[in-house]
Amino acid sequence: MSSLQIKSGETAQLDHVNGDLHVGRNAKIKPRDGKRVTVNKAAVFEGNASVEGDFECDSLTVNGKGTLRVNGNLKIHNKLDVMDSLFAMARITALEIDVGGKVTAGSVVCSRLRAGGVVEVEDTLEAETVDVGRRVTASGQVALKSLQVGGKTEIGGGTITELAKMSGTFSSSSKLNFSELQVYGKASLPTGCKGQRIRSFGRLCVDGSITCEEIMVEGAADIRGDCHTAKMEVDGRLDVSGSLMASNMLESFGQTEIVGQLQGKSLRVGGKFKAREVVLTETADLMGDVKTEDGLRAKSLIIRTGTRCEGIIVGERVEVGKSSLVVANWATKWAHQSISIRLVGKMTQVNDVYGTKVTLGKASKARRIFAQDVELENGSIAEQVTYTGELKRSDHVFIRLPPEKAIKLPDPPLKG
Amino acid sequence: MSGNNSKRSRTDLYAKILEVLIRYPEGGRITRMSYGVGVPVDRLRAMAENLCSFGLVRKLTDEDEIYYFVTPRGLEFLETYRKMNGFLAAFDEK
Repeated sequence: MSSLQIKSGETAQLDHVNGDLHVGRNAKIKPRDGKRVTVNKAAVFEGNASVEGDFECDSLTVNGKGTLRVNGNLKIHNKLDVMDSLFAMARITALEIDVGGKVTAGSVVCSRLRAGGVVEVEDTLEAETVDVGRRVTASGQVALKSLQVGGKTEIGGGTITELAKMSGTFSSSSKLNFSELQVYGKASLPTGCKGQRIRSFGRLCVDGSITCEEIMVEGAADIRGDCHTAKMEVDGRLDVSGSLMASNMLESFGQTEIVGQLQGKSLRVGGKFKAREVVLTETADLMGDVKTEDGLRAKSLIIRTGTRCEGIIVGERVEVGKSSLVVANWATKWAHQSISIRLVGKMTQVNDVYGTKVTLGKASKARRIFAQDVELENGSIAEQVTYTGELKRSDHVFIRLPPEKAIKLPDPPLKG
Repeated sequence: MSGNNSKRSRTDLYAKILEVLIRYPEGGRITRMSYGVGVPVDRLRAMAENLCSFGLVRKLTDEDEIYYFVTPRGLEFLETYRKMNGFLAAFDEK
């Protein structure tokens, strides 16, 4: 097999090259049949060059500065290595693509794509790994295993089955199914996305509903629809325009507003929290300023010292103003530490409380209490206490109306 | 303010260089990096030397070719830069 040399500036008409092809700078290659040129070994270009049709070879290298333009499909059986830039009007297919600067294509299918600079794909992008230094724009659907981008990423939806890590902003214009998204900066998703994990350091915006097993946000999250998750942790600000279903836990430090209902297993709040209604199967651990319109129900409720709670509270075991210390990793959150300091010395206030056992700690105030057993510690205040079992009260307790022992308690307004 | 702006854009450029360089764990060569970063080779070379002097990048010479690598300190800078951008995105109401 021999190699064919095309000199710099030359225009050559080719069909099939049996061997290597060497192309000088600013050369032009035209398919003799008007369609395709094939090279059965390596094609090496010295820099700027153009191919006026489809091009296929075993491996392709562009050594110097400039853009290789292929005005058709580009099919490489092994490695495609371009020093500067590559433009393909239609599809690029290769095992491995390595471009120093910019790749522009109609669509790309490969195993591994690495670009130091920019990848711009008009239609579909299919690859196992995509690793790009500055920016990725794929207007069509993506089908990827992993995606790592040093800057801005814009895709038209699709699937990412392993890690997608973006150091800059990320947006998907259509539905995306993903395993794990890690975004520093702003992440924008449309409605209907599904995934395993989101870690957002910055701002997460979902233009509708989302389903994701685990969501961790440091910064702000704005979900303009419903959110279905197992575990959600927000250190900052959370706004949900619909309802939030957290089958395991919602931990919110900072400011949270849920227009609809919060439904789930457990809730931990440090800061400001507002929802239309909260219905939990296990524990609510509240510290700060908590507001519900239609009430908060859990199996066990811990309302920490200095907390102000508006809306009805319903639980089996309700502790008001008894604890100020917290355990485990709560204490490491900066938001919690600042909240703790602000709440020192403040009275704990709740409205109506319905429970099996209700305890009011020191410097706690409740409106009406309806419970089987009630315990009022020194310094606590209640407007009215109705109980069916036992009332324990310390010496310095103020109850505005005489406590009433009843045979039956009124039904709490929240149904489980 | 203009002094702050030039400091900010220089920091952005350093981050951009590191983002491009970490794509080449086998070592980045200056010409290829210049196409990725989008700055001329001579300017990039000067900035790469600055990054070396700050300890964010190290260089290795192998058969007359110079290869650049991001150091752990460089990764630390990049992580901090990304987090700062995250904070700025969180503050943005849009």
